[in-house]
Amino acid sequence: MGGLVDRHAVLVTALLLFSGVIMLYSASSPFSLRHYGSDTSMLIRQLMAAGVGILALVILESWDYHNLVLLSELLLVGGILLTLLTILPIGLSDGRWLPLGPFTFQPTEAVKFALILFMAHSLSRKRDKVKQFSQGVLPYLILLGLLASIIIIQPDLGMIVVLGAVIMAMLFFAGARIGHLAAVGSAGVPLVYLAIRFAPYRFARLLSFLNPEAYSQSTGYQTLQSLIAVGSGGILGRGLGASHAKLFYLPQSHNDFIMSVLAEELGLVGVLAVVGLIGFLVWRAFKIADTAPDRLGKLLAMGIGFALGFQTLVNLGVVVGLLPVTGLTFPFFSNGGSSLIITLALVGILLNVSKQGEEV
Amino acid sequence: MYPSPPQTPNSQSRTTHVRGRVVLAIFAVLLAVVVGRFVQLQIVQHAYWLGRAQASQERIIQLPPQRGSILDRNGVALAIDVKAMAIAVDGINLTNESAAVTILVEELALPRSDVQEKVSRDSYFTWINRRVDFDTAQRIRERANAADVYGLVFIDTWKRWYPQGRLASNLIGFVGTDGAGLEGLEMAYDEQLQGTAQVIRVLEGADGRTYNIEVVEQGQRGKDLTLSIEMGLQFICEEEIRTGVNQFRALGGMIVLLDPHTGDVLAMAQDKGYDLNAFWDSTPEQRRNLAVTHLFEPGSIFKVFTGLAALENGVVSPADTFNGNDGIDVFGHVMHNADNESYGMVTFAEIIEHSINTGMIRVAQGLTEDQLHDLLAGFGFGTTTKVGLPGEERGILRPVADWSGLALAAHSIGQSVAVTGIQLARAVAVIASDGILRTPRIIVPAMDDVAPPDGVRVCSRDSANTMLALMRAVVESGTGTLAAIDGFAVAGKTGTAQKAVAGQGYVVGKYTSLFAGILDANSPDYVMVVVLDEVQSGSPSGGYTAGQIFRRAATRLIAHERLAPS
Repeated sequence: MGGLVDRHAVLVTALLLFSGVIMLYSASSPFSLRHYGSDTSMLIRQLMAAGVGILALVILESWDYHNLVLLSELLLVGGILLTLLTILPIGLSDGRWLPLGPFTFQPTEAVKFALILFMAHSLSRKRDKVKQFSQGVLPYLILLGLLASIIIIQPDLGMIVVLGAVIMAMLFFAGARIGHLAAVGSAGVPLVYLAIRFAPYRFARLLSFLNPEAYSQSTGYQTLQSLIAVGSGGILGRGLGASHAKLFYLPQSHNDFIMSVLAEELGLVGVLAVVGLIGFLVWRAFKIADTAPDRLGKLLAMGIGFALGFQTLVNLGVVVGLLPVTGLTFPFFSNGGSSLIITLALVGILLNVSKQGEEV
Repeated sequence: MYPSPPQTPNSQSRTTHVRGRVVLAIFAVLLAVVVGRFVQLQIVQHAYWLGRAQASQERIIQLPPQRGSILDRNGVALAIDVKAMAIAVDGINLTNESAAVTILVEELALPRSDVQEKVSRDSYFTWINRRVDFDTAQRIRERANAADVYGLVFIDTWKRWYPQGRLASNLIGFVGTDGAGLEGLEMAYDEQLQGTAQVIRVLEGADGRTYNIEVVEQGQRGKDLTLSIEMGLQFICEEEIRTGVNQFRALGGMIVLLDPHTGDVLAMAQDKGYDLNAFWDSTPEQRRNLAVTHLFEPGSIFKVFTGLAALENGVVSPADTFNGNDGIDVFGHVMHNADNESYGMVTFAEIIEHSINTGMIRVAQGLTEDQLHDLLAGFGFGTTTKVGLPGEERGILRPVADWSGLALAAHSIGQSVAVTGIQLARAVAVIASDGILRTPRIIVPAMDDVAPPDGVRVCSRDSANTMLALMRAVVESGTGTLAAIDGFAVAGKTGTAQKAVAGQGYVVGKYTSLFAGILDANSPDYVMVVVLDEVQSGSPSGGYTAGQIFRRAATRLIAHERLAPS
């Protein structure tokens, strides 16, 4: 046990958090001013979330992950129950969020957090059983099916994709047979097809991202506005705060499309810097896995790294029009307290793993 | 510390490590694809997307510059630009369309269908009205805000305003909705008045609000135009010509008032006119500037110029006598005096004083055709005055080669020629300025250029002064006594010209009644020409009609200019 936290990861996280908050302020100020009467009102909420997130990070950084994972089942069940609350017709929620005093909370983010812990914990104990389909893969598929069938009602297809990817990736890391995973993957295709088929808006979204111009007045509008924002930014961008897209041309400009605003304001240079920072953090996560003292630590670090990297890539794919609009946030940047707190909490666990590993 | 789980077999650990690297590699590849896409969008296709962005988010707007003012010679405003608002609509982002239509229809008195069509257009920018006065625009803005109407665009602009209403309307003209001068001086000096537009770039949000305005090009205000016109004199002349036209039931009339020493047009008045602030209600006839476009035969006034030709060529002196009896046979055509009156033997001075046609023809017969023609041409007949007003006619003065046997006699009494009011005033001004012909000017040059224009000598000082004295007698004891003003030695000449109608020759009962006066013989500082077209009540005599109008206008001029009796 090296006993020292990974300083690189800490520094990069701090940089990401700092730039993310600034970018959020820029992207949200017109919306904030119009809907809340002050251009800093969303910034302030995000800063509060950042405070809670930092607290979570600090706590988890020093909370031995071996102890933490003992709570993973509890956390997962709790998350699922909270998610259930969002879909019950009791007027508590209008979809993905639960009211929490003056704030709202997105329970699926907690599910994501708990799922990573649960998978790592569970898989680290399975050893070779992971190679058997019935014991190694099937239980997790049932879990995924359960999660998906709840979340699809919200509906939040993007989150299902993330959770599914996390489960599959962690099975993969843990040594599940590739044949099994491939079979599951190919079985998932008709499911995705059905999901799309029975929600025509998803189908429209899917088509529209392929040809945003043709759907520019309807479903392709967001993609097209995002492309306009990104493309008009050029190499150096219009300058911080100078986005045109955020003036209500690009819906969700402070949220799923915050990277479009960043690309417009800070140009390719800004994009490369942010992508570089997150890429570095993901890479650090896998390095930490290498030096982790045990299998649990490895799987935790890899799961966290994967979730970060996957969500980043999917979000950017949407921003540049390579993927259909999914509604996935960009870590550290997108508006949303739950997302930011969970991201920081995951980094906290990562740091705890790094602390217990060899010196990197 | 909990006990670590038993060591996993090395092979499993190895698999995990390798699989982690596989995922990292896949991430790297995907990241490369995404970054490649950013490069494509932000570098390769940058210009295209920037163009797309500009097309929907920005507007380049040319803000009309403040047009130069038109001022009278003392700086009194005749035409100025006042602040106004141009209102347009963003049909794509407009909210609460029905309220928007109602507000615009009510405030701007526009047809509902028209407004409805404009706001429904699939366009980010459609003009509603480009010259809304400031208060109305302010009201529209407030009502729109109250009704949650976003998507109306308000742009500061200017609106032409004519503080004097219809005064000098024939001269000033007006500006169309696109800011271009369409009539009169507004048209003739459009380039100078116009200035250059300020170009701005407006950043507009999809919510219809303006977020930023950037000046792309600084515009420049138009230059002012200072007229030679003196507003008070213009007002007097307009009032008097209107009164006169009504009194004598003429079809129309005009007064041209010149400063003979500079050529400055002090007034250019006519009975017809229109409210410049409602120019759209005017007729072409009301807008026509008679002084430069109305052609008429000058009749007996021309005896002044025939007389000058005779004086200049040494064929006559004031005391020379001629047969003034009625009837003179010129190439088989008998020409008469007014009312067929016979005067016996008369002096040259009396011929002018009483306007005796037969005597004048005999005077002219001492001249060659070239001598008469050249003097008339020298006095500017048959050529435009270049006063700088649109549509100026040059009149008719035929070349000698085209003259018939009758022409010399006819020209000598002002027949078979056609002149404009401004031409006649310019020629009479020669007599008031010792024989110097000056280009009349309606625009006073900038202050650093105050020296009066040189002009051209077209007759000797002696001839001019002799004629001035003869014209003094016209008012003192000749045909122009009604133009006399106590205390002033008014000089003048009357004219009552039968009108020739195309194809019919001279028509009985249709006259142009004229008086050209100089105020006064001792100090000839003002030349005023009064023209009445087709007087229909009582005598058409120029001395009786135009002469009286002259007297009334000149009397008020004297008061206005505080002239001391000579």
